[in-house]
Amino acid sequence: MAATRGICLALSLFVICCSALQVDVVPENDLLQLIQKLKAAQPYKDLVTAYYSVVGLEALNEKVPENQDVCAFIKKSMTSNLVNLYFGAFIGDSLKCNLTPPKDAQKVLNDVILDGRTTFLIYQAVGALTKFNLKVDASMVVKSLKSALEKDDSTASHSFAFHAAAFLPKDADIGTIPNAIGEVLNQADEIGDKYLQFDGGIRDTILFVTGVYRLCYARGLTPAIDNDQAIKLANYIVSKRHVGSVRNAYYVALGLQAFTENKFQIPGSVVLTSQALIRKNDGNIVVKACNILGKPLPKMDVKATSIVSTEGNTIASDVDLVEKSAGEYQFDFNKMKPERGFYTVHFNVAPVVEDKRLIGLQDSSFKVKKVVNVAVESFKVKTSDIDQASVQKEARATFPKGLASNIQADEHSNVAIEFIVKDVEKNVEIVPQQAFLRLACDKCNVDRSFLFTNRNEQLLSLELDITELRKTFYSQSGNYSMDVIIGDPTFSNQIYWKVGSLSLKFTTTGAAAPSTKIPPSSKPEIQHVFRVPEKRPPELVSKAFTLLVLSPLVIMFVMWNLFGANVSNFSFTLPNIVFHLGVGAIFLLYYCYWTNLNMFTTLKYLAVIGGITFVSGTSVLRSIANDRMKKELR
Amino acid sequence: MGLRLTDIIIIFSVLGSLVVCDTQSNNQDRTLVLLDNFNTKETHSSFLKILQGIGLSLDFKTADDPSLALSKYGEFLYEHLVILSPSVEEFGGNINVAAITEFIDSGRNVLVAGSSDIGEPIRDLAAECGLEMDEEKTAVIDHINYDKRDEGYHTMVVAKSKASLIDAPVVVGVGVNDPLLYRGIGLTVDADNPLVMEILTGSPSSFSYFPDERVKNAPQAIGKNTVLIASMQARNNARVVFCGSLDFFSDEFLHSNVQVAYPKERTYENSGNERLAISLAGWTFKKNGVLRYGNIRHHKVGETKEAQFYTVGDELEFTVDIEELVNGKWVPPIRSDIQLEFVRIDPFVRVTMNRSSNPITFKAHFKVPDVYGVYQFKIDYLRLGYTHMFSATQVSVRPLEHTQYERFILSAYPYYASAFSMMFGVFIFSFVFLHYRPNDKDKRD
Repeated sequence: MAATRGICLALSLFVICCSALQVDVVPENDLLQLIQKLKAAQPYKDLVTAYYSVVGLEALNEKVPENQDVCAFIKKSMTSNLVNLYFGAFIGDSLKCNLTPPKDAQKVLNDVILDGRTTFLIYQAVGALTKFNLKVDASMVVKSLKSALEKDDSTASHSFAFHAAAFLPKDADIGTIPNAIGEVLNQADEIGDKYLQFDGGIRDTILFVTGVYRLCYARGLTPAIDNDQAIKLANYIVSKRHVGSVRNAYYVALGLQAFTENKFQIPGSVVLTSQALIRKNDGNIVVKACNILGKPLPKMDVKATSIVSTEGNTIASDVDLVEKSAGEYQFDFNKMKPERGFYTVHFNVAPVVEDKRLIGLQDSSFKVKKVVNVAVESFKVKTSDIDQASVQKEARATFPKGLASNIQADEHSNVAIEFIVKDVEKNVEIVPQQAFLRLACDKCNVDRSFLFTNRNEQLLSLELDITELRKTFYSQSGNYSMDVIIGDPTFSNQIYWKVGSLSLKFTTTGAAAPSTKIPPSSKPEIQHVFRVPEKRPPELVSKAFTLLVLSPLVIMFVMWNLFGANVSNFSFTLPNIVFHLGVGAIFLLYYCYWTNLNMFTTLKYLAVIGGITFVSGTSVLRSIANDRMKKELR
Repeated sequence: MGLRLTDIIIIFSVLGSLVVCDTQSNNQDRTLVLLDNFNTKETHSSFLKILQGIGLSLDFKTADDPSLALSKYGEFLYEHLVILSPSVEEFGGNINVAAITEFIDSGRNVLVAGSSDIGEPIRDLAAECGLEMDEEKTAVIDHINYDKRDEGYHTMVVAKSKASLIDAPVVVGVGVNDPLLYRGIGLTVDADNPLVMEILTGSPSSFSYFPDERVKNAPQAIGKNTVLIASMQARNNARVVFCGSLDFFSDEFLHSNVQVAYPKERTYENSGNERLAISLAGWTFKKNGVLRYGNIRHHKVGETKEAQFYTVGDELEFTVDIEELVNGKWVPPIRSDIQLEFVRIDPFVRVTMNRSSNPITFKAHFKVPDVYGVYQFKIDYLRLGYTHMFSATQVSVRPLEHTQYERFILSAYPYYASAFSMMFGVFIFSFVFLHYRPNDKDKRD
């Protein structure tokens, strides 16, 4: 049962959603930009750009800037080939240049039709012939189109066939060409229930739309595009209004023209031209009925069928709107004496003179908002001691002035703030959506907001437990600025009131600094500190001691001299010389070891020198001993 | 002269890395764009064009497409992921939050746009990245800073670029001076998380709540704590950017003017959205703020050959080539505060490297400490918005050899003198002692 109801509800929602398919309108600025884009193509350097610009501007009913003699330019570049003839013919026709086609134009164009390679070429040829008022052989065109369609049945191919067939006289038999409209349309993709487009994008979509409308108009047929599809196609074109190239601007212009000037379907929309904001002295709601270019539609009966608040109360129904200016209708919302809040206004728009072409106008609704001016009243800050709650200090402030003095508080005190918000005009109390107290301490880089609550009726109050704040504020004592922020969607003035400052004193000092993320940056440089060498004695001492150490040697020589030392026993024998040289060499080797040799080389040398010295030493000692023995024996 | 084995190895490794680079550039810019529906492609065409403009090749899929997959046979199909489908309730195909997390863990980048109509998977993904998105149907509200075209609930928020935007030019660009338009859900971040960066925050009067309800419970985010755009750069340098507003990137917001409604009406010609979107896209998809290094050389001053080891007290020179990616091109780094550390458990030396004549080459010069052991040359460079650059090169430091100590110390001259005088004395004395002839007079005694 519940499920069935759910489905019914879903179905009805679906119906609502689709019947209320909103038609988008090109904003004025965007339209101007589009026109500017087309105009900026001047001065024309080639026929293609000239064609896009001139025909695009014509579609938007804009004059081609007269900075350049375009007719002369065309005449100059007119040669007998298909592309030039086609562009020339269309530009010439649009600007009324009275061009005379080259003599062989008829033949060149007829050859193209006869050749019938693609519908695109046939369309260009037929178009050029028609614009030049030359004879068109309808049966030949139809035959060529059919064979070209057999080769290529893409969207674009069909669209060009529609365009070509639209040029043919009414009595010509064009066969089954229009039958393809529905079939081609089936290939279009729907995007998000709002847009309808062809794979080829903007070009294919617009060629199709323009082709269908032209063909149906020329033949007196009803286009096989239903109203929703037409609206979705129009929405797609409007959504593509931001163009980058002259070519795309041309296509968009053509598409917009197709949906504003045709005999079948003209999507219209009701747009709100006033603000959706109802103030005390400005309650006019202005709506405009317009086509997708934002141009007013013929006179309408505009009625606000119902005005419903968000709570679901209908505060008025069937209000007639008065025409303010062409296409604009208004009524004074304040006459309904609305409370502050949101309202949905449903409109019903019907043309005074019935016009079947207008689509998408049936239902539209807008959300409007009644705003009020507010002020803060009876603002009080009460401070009391926890232990002696009866002793209270009270500070008052009148909006928008701040408190006269600083509020002092420590962990033994309670701080309570209260106030009411009043609608200035009606003098009634209001509870706003947002009522915050912001405590911020720039110095200590903390910033917290607290909520005001309305425990009793409309009185907004907040109690600050300083002991709890200690944690929130990381025990950072100091001056905190108090800002009261009061906001609501239905206020015409939002309040950001710098009330004053609160001086907080916490018993513990701010040990833990507030955690703020410091972005990583350079670390301090480190230079290695080398071990300082030990202090050495002064140079003089070293030198003096060096001399002192050398003195025994000197003393030795002096004593020897005194006692008459001699070497008279020395004889120049080989062992003697070798031995003493050897001893000297060993000492010299020690010196070398100290300065530059390492141990291994030193040992190597020592082995050699030492060996020799040893052998010669024994022989020297032996000879000395022998000498002494001989002497003693003697 | 024939090739040495090391040369051959070097040549092969260079060739190998070239091949790797090549396959990377082919694969680099494959980007999966997940959409709620293809309408987003129309409404966000400018932003998608920006993405293509920085060199990404986009692959569009709806988020519930049953053929979705980020990887196939263990290999990732994409380098980047753009999620423009805030309301998705369940991803199609093989994609789920775990798969996306794995994608990020592999060093790949993700851009996510949310909206008030947020689905559970996106919130879960945000939680995985250290961010919290507010509940479904909530929105960032600012009754003081809103645009005139707001639909009534003041959810079309104007964020002032100067006060609210992070000071990191590599992330947000330099030219964002115009206010930014935002309509969507609020984020909160853990202030202590070092990987998360708050790119854009709300004004002091902003908060995140249900637009049509009175604030009864403390909102999840109030004031400056309301984060609008946040990013997470993982330890593997994967970048994930969350923007709570899908509309932020829409054609409408990108090309719109800004009409500040309160307290005085003021119109700015352009919104800063486009500029910020371009910078953000470039940063997220690693076209900016990426650092790389190579060609590390070190040697003793006055030599050119790399030393196998150093001796305490050596003067040494360290050079490294560093480049930064700016708009997809490798150029010399913009900042020059890159430091080198010489570390043995603790850093013994830390110096800022100087740019040499070649702008990509950085040089440091210092004296090896008098403590021997195994050291590392370390570059550990982390700056806001840049990828983490880390390099460690090991080298050993030896004590002096016995021959390397000081040899001629003035204070020791008495010792030298005594030793040499002793040697000389022995030489002379032995000569005299051996060849002495006593006087005849003495002999008579």
